[in-house]
Amino acid sequence: MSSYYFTIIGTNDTPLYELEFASFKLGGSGASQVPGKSQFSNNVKEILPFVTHSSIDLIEDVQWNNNQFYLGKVDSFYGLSVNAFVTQGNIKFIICYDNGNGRYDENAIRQFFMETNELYVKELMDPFYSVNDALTSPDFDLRIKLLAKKYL
Amino acid sequence: MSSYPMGLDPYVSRQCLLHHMYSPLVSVHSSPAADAFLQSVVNAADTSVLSILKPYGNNVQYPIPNQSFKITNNQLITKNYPSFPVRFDFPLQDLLSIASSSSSDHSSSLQQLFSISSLERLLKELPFDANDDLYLAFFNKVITSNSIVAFHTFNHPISQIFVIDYANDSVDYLRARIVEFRNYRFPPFFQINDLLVHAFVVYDENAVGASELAAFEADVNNKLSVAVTFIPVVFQEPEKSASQVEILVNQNSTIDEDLQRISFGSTPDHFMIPTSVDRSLRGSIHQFISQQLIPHMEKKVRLWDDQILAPKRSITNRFFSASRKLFNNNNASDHQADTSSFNYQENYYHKSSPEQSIRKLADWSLILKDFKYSYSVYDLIKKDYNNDKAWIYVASTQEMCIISLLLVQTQLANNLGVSPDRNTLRRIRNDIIEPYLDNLSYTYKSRLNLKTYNLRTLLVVVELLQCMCSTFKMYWWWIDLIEKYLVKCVQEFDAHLIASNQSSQVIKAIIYERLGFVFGKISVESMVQIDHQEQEKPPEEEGLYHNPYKIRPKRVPYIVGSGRFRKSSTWYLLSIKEWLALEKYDHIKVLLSNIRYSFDLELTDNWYNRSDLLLGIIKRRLVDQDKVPPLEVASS
Repeated sequence: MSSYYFTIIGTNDTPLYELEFASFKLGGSGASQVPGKSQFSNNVKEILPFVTHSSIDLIEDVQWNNNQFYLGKVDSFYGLSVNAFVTQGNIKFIICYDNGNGRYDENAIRQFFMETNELYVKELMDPFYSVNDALTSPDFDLRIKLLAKKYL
Repeated sequence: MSSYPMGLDPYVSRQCLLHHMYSPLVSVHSSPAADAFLQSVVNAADTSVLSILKPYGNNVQYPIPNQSFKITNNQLITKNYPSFPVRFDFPLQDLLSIASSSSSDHSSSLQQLFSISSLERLLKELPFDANDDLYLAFFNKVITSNSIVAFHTFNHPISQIFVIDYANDSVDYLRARIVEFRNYRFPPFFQINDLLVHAFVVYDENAVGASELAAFEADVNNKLSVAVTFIPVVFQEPEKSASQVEILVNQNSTIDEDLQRISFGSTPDHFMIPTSVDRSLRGSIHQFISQQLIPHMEKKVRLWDDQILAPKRSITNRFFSASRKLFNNNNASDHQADTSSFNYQENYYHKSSPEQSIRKLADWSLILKDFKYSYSVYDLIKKDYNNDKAWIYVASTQEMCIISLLLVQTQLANNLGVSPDRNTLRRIRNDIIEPYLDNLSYTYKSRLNLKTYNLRTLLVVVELLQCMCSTFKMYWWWIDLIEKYLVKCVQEFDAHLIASNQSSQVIKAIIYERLGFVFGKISVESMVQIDHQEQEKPPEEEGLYHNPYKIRPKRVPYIVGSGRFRKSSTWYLLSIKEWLALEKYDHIKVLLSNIRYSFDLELTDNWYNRSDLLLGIIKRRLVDQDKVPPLEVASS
């Protein structure tokens, strides 16, 4: 069962939203674990935001050579793979996952990003929200979690 | 920006490589009388001629005034070099007996280059200052070796020196030593005829006249046909000697020698030598290198080129080998086994086989700094090794192909700032570096279980690739390879040490630090480049509409994504994490200054200061550390 760390990063490199979760798809050894609870070890947990932060370098490199919003797998660091998506406003969606069993669905991640983008745009249209503020809305959180459950 | 990032310049490691790995090895045999004489001069009872000569081999550190070495290559082009270091080492018999005794438990298998756990222990125990660059020590230890193996000849001595004392040793004594040496049973891959036998004679300058010396030299020349270099020594009483020079002893020492020195504790890392002796040693060694060693090597290289390589490259030989391939395809493998001179049991070519000589030719011309020629020879001989399935030779030659190619490319004198074009770079990367490294890693690791050779190759290639990056400012060609190979090194070291129940903290910390340095360096270099381009932009036209609300990029290099400051900082953080476990707080504070472009350490309310994240943990530990008085730390 692979674990994921999803984060939305603002234009000034600050995380706006973070979520750690595990795949809801049935894995081989997941019987005793809480469904959706990430399995990252403490050593990895403390560096996850730094891994995503360092992948911004590569995202900024790739985004100018690519006319897609979804940039695919941009980096792998410390045994973690990093996929990224850039919005029109240069907000980055980054997902880190341990690709231990070698199975991951590129299309699922793309779909997840697409729909997250829709949610983000809706959030952006909120008159009380301005760019680069933390995304604290419980509704947004719930919807992202539902998307995670649906696709990953 | 000038002090960012702090670390070892790759050109320094390239120099180290040429000084400590690809330099002539000269084995030294000294008579007891010569040892005793020099001991009395230096006033240290536990020293030997070899330990005094050893540091002087490095003529970068201990040069003579206006030093220069003339080297003529095969195309008869002469170049002057400001230095030409040699490695003085133990007598050849000792080197060989050490190798054979340590391999007695599993006789036919090859030895590891060094012990990874010893390296880790040494680095842990090495006293170092917070600002010292431990990477240099690490790199030097990895590349320094004096074990004699069949598949490369860098550690085969080029010269054997007999050091005798003029007052106490006679010509007959010297003859006895040389005869004894020649009658030694050398391994079958070692060619003793290529060895330059030479004598150093130490004498008291006040007691011996010039005519006596000339007579002695003529005597040795006539009876033994051995050239002589005299080392005049002015014998002084220790208290009378006016000035002394400090000489460091740990030149070219292997991991085991260093560990021994540290565990003995009392052995000093330097000795004092009177200035006059220092001067005459420098002079005599320079004379030996420039008048004996270099001409000997040039002569041999030319000879092998004429007698072995030229016929091999000739059109008739090519025709024959092609026809052999075309018309002799039945029982090809049997036929090959008959004709090849490779010993499959013990993995060597016989010393008289052309394959072994050509490899030596390539190695020697690399030592003589003719990198282009040696690349062409390595490339040629590789095919023969491949046909013979001499895997260890193939791997070692592939390694040297990559290294000699990168040495050619990074030779500053040749390039004059003209960078290779895209197709050449693509060829170097896709046809040479990547496939050869994969191939040789497979041979070293899986076929022969010699992972330390693989590690050394990776580290050397990484350093040379960094030189490529900084010479031509084209890091984007190589940065992913550098990262990949360094991470591979960490994994290999880790896997080995975990298997023996150790953790590889220092090695890991050093390599992570290096990764941080590499990324930081390319960021700074690309930034300079972009600044330069910015200046060349024409001024914007007046009257054009400017959008005042447009968000401007914060830092210049980020606009084209060529900066890697964030990545560099993350590697530094991982390195700091390892140093934290080792409690090297001073060094951590130095490293923290290298992450200043990504993380502002003064701020406290930013995301990276969260207490559950690595940087937060590090800061908290440092604050706790500062609060604890040093005495309590000692008692706890």
